[in-house]
This record gives sequence, structure tokens and C-alpha cells, in this order.
Amino acid sequence: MIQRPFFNLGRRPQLPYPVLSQDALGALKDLPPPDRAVLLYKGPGLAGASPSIKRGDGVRTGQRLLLESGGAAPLVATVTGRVADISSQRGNLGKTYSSIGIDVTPRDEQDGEFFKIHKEGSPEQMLGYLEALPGMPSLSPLLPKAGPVRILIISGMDRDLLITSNQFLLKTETDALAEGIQRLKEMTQPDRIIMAVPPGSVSDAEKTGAEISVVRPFYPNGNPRLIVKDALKKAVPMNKSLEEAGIAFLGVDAVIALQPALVKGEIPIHRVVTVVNKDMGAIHARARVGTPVRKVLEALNIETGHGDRVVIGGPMTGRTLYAEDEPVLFDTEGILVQDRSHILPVSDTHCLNCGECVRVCPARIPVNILIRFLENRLYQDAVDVCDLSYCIECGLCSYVCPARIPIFHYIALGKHEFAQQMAEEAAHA
Amino acid sequence: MPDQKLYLVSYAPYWHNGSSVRARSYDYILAALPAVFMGILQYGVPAFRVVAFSVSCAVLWELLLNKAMKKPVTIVDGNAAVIGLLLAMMLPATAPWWAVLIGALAAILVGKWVYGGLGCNPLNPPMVAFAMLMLSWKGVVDFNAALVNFDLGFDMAYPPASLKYFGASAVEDFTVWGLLMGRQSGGIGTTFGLGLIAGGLYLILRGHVRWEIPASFIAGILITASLFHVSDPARYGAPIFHLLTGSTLLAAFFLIGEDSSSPVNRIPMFLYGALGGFLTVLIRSIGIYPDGVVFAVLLINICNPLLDKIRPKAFGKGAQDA
Ligand code: SF4
Ligand code: SF4
Repeated sequence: MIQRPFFNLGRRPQLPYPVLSQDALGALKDLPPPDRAVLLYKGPGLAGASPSIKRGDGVRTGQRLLLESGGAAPLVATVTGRVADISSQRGNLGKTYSSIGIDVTPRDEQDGEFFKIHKEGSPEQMLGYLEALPGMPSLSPLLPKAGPVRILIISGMDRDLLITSNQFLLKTETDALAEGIQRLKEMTQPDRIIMAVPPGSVSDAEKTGAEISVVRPFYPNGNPRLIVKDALKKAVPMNKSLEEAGIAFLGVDAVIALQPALVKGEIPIHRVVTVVNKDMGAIHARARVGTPVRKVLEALNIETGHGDRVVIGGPMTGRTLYAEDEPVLFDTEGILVQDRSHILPVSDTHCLNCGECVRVCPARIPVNILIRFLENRLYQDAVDVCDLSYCIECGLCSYVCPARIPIFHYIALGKHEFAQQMAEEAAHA
Repeated sequence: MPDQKLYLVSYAPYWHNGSSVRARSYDYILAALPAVFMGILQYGVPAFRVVAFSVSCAVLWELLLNKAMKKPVTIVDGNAAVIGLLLAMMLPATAPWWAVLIGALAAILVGKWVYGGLGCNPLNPPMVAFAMLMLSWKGVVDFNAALVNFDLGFDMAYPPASLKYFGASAVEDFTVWGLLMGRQSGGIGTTFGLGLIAGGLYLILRGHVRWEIPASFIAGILITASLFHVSDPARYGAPIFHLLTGSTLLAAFFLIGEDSSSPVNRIPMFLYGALGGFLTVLIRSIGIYPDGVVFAVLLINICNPLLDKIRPKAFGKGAQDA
């Protein structure tokens, strides 16, 4: 935990991202495949009466499973084995997931469908297939139907503190990255390709042939919106998505995952995660996608106890786990284990109006007023008066609040409730 | 679960910079101590009595109000103690016990809790209490009358009053160094300029007080006072005199920057401070009160919500980024 310096003169906290240097990379630890893999489909799924699979079915690596009748909600398996259970789950703020447990057989059997698409199909079919990998970010900005990709931005920054997966991949798999970027370039024909990297990775990034944008390695500069602003010297208005602005934004991790698929027609099945132990020591581990967090921690001899916190992602924006059964997916950048003695509880103290949050907010939101609206559930006012929708979700406001108000939680809830209200109004109109 | 291992689940972020309301309050108290000690050194037991009683009363009123309103007990956050201490610092060492008791009640109840407690008060609580005492029992805070029986080896006339009623020549004998070292009469914790400045700098360095507010307040005082002084040096005091007498320094570093009643954006902070300095000198020079700080502070407190509307456009909203 980075504490406020004793004398801080009211300045913003300087939270440095860890910067990896070539000689201090550490070894990559290869984790064994799990006995039971879990694949998550982030979306309603399972709504149709008859998914294309049921318990006991055999599944091959790379096989596309359909969780709804009619071909919707596809999920690509990253292991070979037998389906052991299918269930739906609820996550934070009303999100739903479908989860499929698969008893893994040690020998991988490859499903041929993707290979065929790679040979004969169109880029759309290929990307559509890959998008169904569990946890793969949306690839739709790469597709022509979203309009031409003007700018492809590849981020070698990690979004959150303590996490160094992207930096690690950038340094250790530079050739694969260059090849992946080359393929993406051929497919999407962008006007510009920009790599956003921390200072220590410039020479690696230059090998990819992309333009370089050097990011000052202080939080929250790894945030996609801020990276785009840095790279293009102007911000995309918040009422527009990056995609609408003709920008395709991918992390190095996503390019590395796509590379074997785009180049050789092989379904990617691994991902590198940064595992941060209680002492904040970081290990890079390559896990089969679908490996439950429990197995990752076991393999690395990390012990957890009652009252600890296990976070998927980093300390500022990650998501806590209820149980260790949740799997490593393609978007799992890191796993953070926090000892219970390091956890500061939040409080229900009223806002002091000290303004720390206002001065720290990269989105220049009047958080001191916003929190008053949010606490009183005045979501419309929060949006109209306090620019709630302009928040770029960095979590710094909660980090600095002396009243220890869970501001970021209020913001997430506020955004969710407001979207809900809008949807209801639209339904009634 | 067989082993009953449950994880703590909460929303991001999982880090905090460690700041807290309590730490802020204790820092305020720490920063105020030099000035308070000097007051106690000068006036002895009576001053100590006022300070101790004021702090205890403030804390007790807070506790009683917590209980009466069935709210969680908030005295541990130290805010009530800070309010009691600041009130005592503004009072003369001879303040009678009932005035302190009522003052503390006014600060905690009328200054803070009627608006909903910590962070909701539009006005500075100790200032509200002081203004009420001043308007209701003039004698209590009339420093010339209150301190008439003390002889500490320097001119015991209250400097702002001397200036007001007898002109600049009446205060010629005060040296800057003397004023800084507390060789002037006034509230228990308002006279030791050096101590207040040191405490103020500590608060600024710790990040509890935004430097913009005291800086612009002091600039406002100096500039306005210079203008008056230049226009009629015989009648209006020198700028430095205004800065070092009355409760100016206490207000600059401990009162106007109070979180709830001051702005949080940069331009508003400058306007707020400068306006406060301007009003202070204006009231002292052409108003009816010798020390204009009290009403100047309350007036800028009132302006605060309006001033704080001046703020930058959100990221990705204004033309500056698009
Ligand atoms: S999370 Fe807080 S600090 Fe970050 S952009 Fe949103 S409001 Fe601002
Ligand atoms: S940091 Fe917390 S206490 Fe301070 S103004 Fe923001 S919400 Fe209020």
C-alpha cells in the first residue's frame, strides 16, 4: 500500500507503475493445466432452453459451444474434457455470467473448425470466432462494419498498479507481438499504428515498427482514455466510444493472444498473469485459460486465510472474489492477494468537503458534490450537474478520501442505477 | 465451506493513502499548540482554564448531541475538540465560564449540527460562536475591558481598537518583531504571530490546508491595507500591522481554510481568500468593528458555494480536450 507522504503539500499522489527492466524480469512460471477448468461467458447466456451442450458432453480444445438455442452466446473452449456442470451466476451490480465446468483430460484434442475458418474464411468470421474466447475483449472495433479503423493503439502499459503482464509480454514476446501487429495491420489497414509504452520499454516497442507514444508511468496514465489522449494529443469526447472515433484499442496481452490464431490458425489457450503476493512480490505465471484461481495460488505456494482479500486485477480497479473457483480468463491481467491486516475498512462518515478527491480526479469531476447526490440517490442530478458519466473509473477519489467514503463504489452503483432508470424510461416511452 | 475460509469482498480500490479525519484533527490541534502555549505562558491559569473548559465543553456538547439525535458517537474524530480549541484561541483569557459554555454550544449546535454535522456546515463553527458572543455580550470579547487587569510588560490596549479609535500614531510603538512574538493583547491564541505562522505552514505542508487560501487572504489584506495606508497614513495602519494583529493570522491559517466552508477548486480558492482579506481590512478601516475578521470570514463562507461553481470542464467534455 502506498501511503501519503508525511508532507505532501496538497499535491496529487504520485503512484508509480512498476517499471520492468530487462535484467530484472524474473522467470516465467508455467502452471500445470487444472483438473477442472471453468469457462465463463460474460453475458446472460443460458437463456435459451437448449444450449448446444449438456453435462457429460465431450469438449475439444477450440470447440465453439453455444449457450443458447439459435446460435447465440458462443463460447470457445480452451481445454479438452467432459462438461461437468453448467450454471448461471450473478456478479456485481446485476451482471450475469454463465459458467461451464469441464473435467480436463490431460491430452489436448484440437477442434478443426477454426483452422478451417483461418484457411478459407473472412477476417470477420475469424475475429468473430476469437471474440468468443472466454474473457477476450471485444474485437468489433477491428471489423469493417464499425467503420474503417483509422488508428490502432496497442497499449504496453498495464491498466492498474502492481500489474506488469503487458510490460512482461512486451519484453519477452517481442517477436510474436510484432508479428501479431503486422497481421492486424494487413487485416484492418489502419492509417496509424501507435504503441503506448512506459519509458523502459521503448526499444522493445520500436521493434514492432509502430509509432511510439511514451507514457509517464504514473497512475492512472495506463487508462485507455488517457493513453488515447496522450497519443493523439487530444481526448475523445466521453459521449463517444473509442470505437466510434475510429480507434481500435488493444492491450499487448490481447495481441499476443490473437497472434497464433491470426498467423497459424491455432486457438490460443494460455495467458500470462501477474500474481502479487501479500508482500507485494510479483510473479509472472502462464496459466491455461480456465484455471481456477485456487489452482494458481496453490501452484505458486501462496497461502490465503480467512478475512483476506483476493482480487482479480490490480489494487485500484480490480474485482474481489467470493471464492477461488473463478478462473483465469483472457482479460485476467493479474491476481492480487491482500492480507487481512492490510485492509482498511471504509466508513460511513459524511464527506468533509476537503476537496482531495476533486483535486486528484483526472476527469475533473466535482466529486465532493457528486458524492452528496449519489448518497441521496439523486442519479439524474449526479449526471446533469456533476458529470457522473465522464468518470473514467480510476478509483483515485476513494484512495485519497480522508473520510474513507467508498466513493468509487457509489459511482459504479450510480452509473448502473442511472442506466437502469434510462432503460426503464425508454421502455415506457 | 468446510474450513470456513471466507474472503473479504468489497469494491475497488483496495488501497487507501492512509489519511483520516482523526489524523487531520490531531494535526490541527498540534499546529495550534505553539500559539496556545504562548497564550497560557502570558496569561497563566486563567488562559489555561478557558482552553481546557472550551475543549471539554465542545466535546461534551458533541457527545450529548450525538446521543440526543441517536447518531453514532463522533467525538473520536477530534473535530469537536478542534472547534473548542479554536474558539478558546479567539477568546480573552478572562472569558467567564458561562460564555465559554454557551460559545461551545453555539459552535457545535448552531455552527455544525443544525446543518447535519461534519462537512455540512456552511459557516465556520468557531467563528459562528464568536460572532454570537460578540453580538450578545459585547463585554466578553471586548479585549480592552477584559484584559484591563493584566500587565504583561507591553501596551495592553487591543491594537486594532487603538488603531480604529486613535489613528496610526497610537500604534507606532508596536514593532513587527514584537507582534510576531506575541507582545500585544488579544485572544489567547491569536497574538503569537510566529507560532501561528509555523503552525499554518505545518498544516499547509501536511496538505490539510490548501496554500491558495491563506496566500490569497494574506495578499488581500496586504494589498487592501496598502491602498488605505497610502491614501491616509495618519488614519490607516500599515499593511503589516493589519496582518499581525487581531485574529488575522489565526483566520488565515486555521479558520478560513476549514474544509466544509471553503472552496475546493483553485480559482475559487484564490477569489475566496482575496475577498476575505479585502473585507477584513475594509471592515477594520471603515466599518464599526475594530477587528473585521469575524464578519469577513462569515461573509466569504456565505459566498463559498457560489464561488465553487467556477470549475473546469470535465475531461472529454470541453473544447480544451476535444
Ligand atoms: S474514479 Fe473518481 S477520481 Fe477517478 S475519474 Fe472517476 S470520479 Fe474521478
Ligand atoms: S475526499 Fe472525501 S471527504 Fe474529501 S471532499 Fe472528497 S468525498 Fe469529501
